[in-house]
Amino acid sequence: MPERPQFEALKLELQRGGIAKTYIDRTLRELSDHYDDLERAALDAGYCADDAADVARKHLGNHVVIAAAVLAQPRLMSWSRRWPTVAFCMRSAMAIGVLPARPMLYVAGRGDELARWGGAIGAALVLVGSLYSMLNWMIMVG
Amino acid sequence: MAQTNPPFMTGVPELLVLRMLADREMYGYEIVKAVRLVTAEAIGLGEGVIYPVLHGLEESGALRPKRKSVNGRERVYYAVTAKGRRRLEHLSDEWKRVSGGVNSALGDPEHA
Repeated sequence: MPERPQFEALKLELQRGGIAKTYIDRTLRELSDHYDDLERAALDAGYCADDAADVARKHLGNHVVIAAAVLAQPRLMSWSRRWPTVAFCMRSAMAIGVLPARPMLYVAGRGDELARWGGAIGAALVLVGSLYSMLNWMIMVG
Repeated sequence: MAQTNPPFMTGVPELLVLRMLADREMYGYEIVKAVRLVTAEAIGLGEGVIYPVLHGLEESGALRPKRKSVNGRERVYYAVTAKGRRRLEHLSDEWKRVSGGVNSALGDPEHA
């Protein structure tokens, strides 16, 4: 279901508050369905489209109140928000583990570029070596 | 309809949701309609706050969500678990104790 613009502010507040992504997505999806039901009920009751949307918004409630209700549920927080020390330690351990692999990953990702550099350096060495050899030979002969 | 949850409402949405779902499984909009009906709109909540209550109860193991496709729309139905029934019993007892105390205080001419 496409995300509704009226829930953008709510999504942002929930993300800032550290709510788990699963629950952000579910809250928005279920609120969106609820909004549709409210709007349909208002249209069935004889409201015009604009008024029906107003009624739906009013019944659903302000995004600040909804966000406060979500943030009041500590169980809905992401695990890194619930156990910040554990998350910090795990991230540090992962970073240390990944660190030695970084140069290899760098090389693996830039094979063509490194081959060109290698070729250029090799060609330069051959050229300089040839010049030295030629000079050396000329001194010896001359 | 009130759009806020004053402090004395703490625990009430949870109690009402569990009570509504004790009879049959429902989705969010249905629960709100049922609450409105049985309380004769005496308890007005911003309807959007029902979802954090449902998700909190689900996370604590009191509710079990189930996705169902109804008339081409996917709905999340909630059902009470055994743990949820125990929680409902506990909350009901607690509510009766508190409301009984408040009622007797209101009925007592010394405190009225």
